[in-house]
Amino acid sequence: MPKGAPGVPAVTKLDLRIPPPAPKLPRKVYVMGVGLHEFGRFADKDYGELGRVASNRALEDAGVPWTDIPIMYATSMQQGACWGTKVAISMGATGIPVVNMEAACCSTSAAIAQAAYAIGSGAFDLALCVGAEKQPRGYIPTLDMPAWMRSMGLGTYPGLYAQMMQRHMHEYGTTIEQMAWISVKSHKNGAMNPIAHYRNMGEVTVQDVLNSRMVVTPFTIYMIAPTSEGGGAVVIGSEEAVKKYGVRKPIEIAGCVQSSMIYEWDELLYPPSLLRITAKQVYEQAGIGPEDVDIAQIQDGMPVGEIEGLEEMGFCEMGDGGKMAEKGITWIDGSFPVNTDGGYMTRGNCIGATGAAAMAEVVYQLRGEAGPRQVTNVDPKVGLAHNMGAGIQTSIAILKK
Amino acid sequence: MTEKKTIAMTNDDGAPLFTWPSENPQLIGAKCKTCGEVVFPKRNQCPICYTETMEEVLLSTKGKVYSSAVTFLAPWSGFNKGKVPYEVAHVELPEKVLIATRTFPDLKTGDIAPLPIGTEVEMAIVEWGEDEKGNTVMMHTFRPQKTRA
Repeated sequence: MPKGAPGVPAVTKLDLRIPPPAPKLPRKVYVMGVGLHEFGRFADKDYGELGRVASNRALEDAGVPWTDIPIMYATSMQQGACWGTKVAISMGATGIPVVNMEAACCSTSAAIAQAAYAIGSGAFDLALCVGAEKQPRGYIPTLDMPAWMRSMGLGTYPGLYAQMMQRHMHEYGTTIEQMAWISVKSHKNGAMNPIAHYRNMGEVTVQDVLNSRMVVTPFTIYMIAPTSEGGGAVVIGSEEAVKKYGVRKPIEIAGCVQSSMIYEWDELLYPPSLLRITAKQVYEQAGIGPEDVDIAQIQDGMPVGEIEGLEEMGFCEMGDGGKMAEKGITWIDGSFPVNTDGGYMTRGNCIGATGAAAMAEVVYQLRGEAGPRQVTNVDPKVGLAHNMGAGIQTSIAILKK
Repeated sequence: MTEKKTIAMTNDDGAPLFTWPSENPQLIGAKCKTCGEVVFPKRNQCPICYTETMEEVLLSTKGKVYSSAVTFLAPWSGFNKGKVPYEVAHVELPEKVLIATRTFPDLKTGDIAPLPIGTEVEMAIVEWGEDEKGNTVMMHTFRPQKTRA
C-alpha cells in the first residue's frame, strides 16, 4: 500500500462484543498451486467436469499427483448435495474425505481457511480446495433472506447493495462517475484475463458505463458482476510438502480469517464492523498492517464492494474509496492495484469458485506470472484476497512471497 | 370450500408482520426487556445482550427513509407479478429499527418517484396478491407523510 494508509477504522459500536481471536496457524502453510476453469456459460459441462478441469490445472501447477491428495474441500452455493464427490468421481475416486462447504461468495476462501487450519495444526500435509458453479442467469437466489423479503421484491443483492451505495453517496458525496471508473478499470483488466467471463467484451469508457442499461439506481448493467459458471482450485500444503514436491514459487498463507455477521441495528448488507473486525484479525494473524499490502482482490460485485472494502480494510480514509479508481491508484499501473483480473465485475462471480479465483490472481501477481496484467508500478511481496457474501459472511486471506 | 381471507404477509415462522385486519395497522416487532433493543420482525433472543427476554411490541407507523433505490429488473424468485420499475427502501423508525419495505408515492397509480434519504414517511398497507390458497395477502409499504392543508 502507498505511504499514508490510514489503517482500519475504529470499531466503536461493538467494543463489548468483539468475537474470539482469529485461529492460530502453529506451522506455516503455503499455496502450492492454483488452477482455474474459464468463467462464463458452459451448457456442455456439469459441476463435476468444471471442478475436475480446475483441480487438474491446480495439481499440475503444484506438481502434485491427484492420488497423493489426502483430503478435498469442495465448495458451491447452488448444487444441492454431495457436489464434492462428483468432482472426485470425475477425477477417479480415491476414497479420500470430501468436505462439502458452502459460504456463498466466500465459499472457496472459507474452504481454504479450513484447509489451512487443518494443515497448520498438523493433521494433514496437503489439501485440495475446489469450487465450481452451475447457475441460472439473472439474480442470484437470495436464500438467506426470509420469503416475505423475496416475495416483496426486497431480497435482491443488487437492490440491497444499491441502498448501501445510496447511503455512501449521501454521507460522503461519492459520485456515479467514480463508480463508472471502477467499471472501466475492471473491463480493461478483464479484457486481459483469458479466463474472465467478459474476456471478449473489450474496454469501455465512463460514458459507455453510464449509458448502459439501468438495473437498480445507481448501478447500470456494466457495474454489476455477471453470474458465471466455471471452476477454481487451490492446492495448499505444509513446508514439508513444498520441499517434497519441489514447488518453484511457494506463496505463504500468512493469514486467513472467515467471519460471519455481527448484529448492528442499521445493518443492510455490508455491515462495516464485520469487515473492520475481520481485517484487524487477519492483519494481526499475519503480523502486518494495511500499509504493508502491495496488491488486493476486493469483492466488487457492485462498485460499493470495492469502495467500502478499500475504506474498511484501512487502505484509504472513510469516504475516499470512490476516488481510488478515478485517480488511477487502483489500476494495474497504479500504486495500489486492486482487482487486476477484472474482479467479480468482469472476471465474473462464479459463486462457489470466486474465492479460488481471487486467491489465484494474487498468487499469479506475487509470482510475477500475471502476463499482460502484471502490475508495473509495484514489486508485490504481500497480497490480500477478500470476499464478501450472503449470510452475511466475509473472508480475508493475506499471501506473502 | 374453505373461506378465502385477507391476511397479512407472514415471516418464515408463520407470524404476521403487522396487525391485520386493523383500522390502524402496526408492524409487529420485539423489544428486549433487559437492554431495550428493538428488532423487526420479532425474534426470541436479543441480538445485543443475547438474553431471551424479548417481548412483542407494536412499532411506530411514521419514520424516515434511511436509504432507497429504484429497481428496473424484476426478480425471478417468488416475486409477485409486480410492475417494474419499483422502489425498495429501508425506513428508520423512532425506535431505532430499520424496516425493509416497498415505497409507493402514489398508491392508486403505482407511479414511482425517488424518495430521497430523509423523506418523512408513514406506513400504508396495500394488497400484494394471492397466496396458493387464494387468500388475499397484504403487505406493508411506506409513503410520504401527508402534509397538513
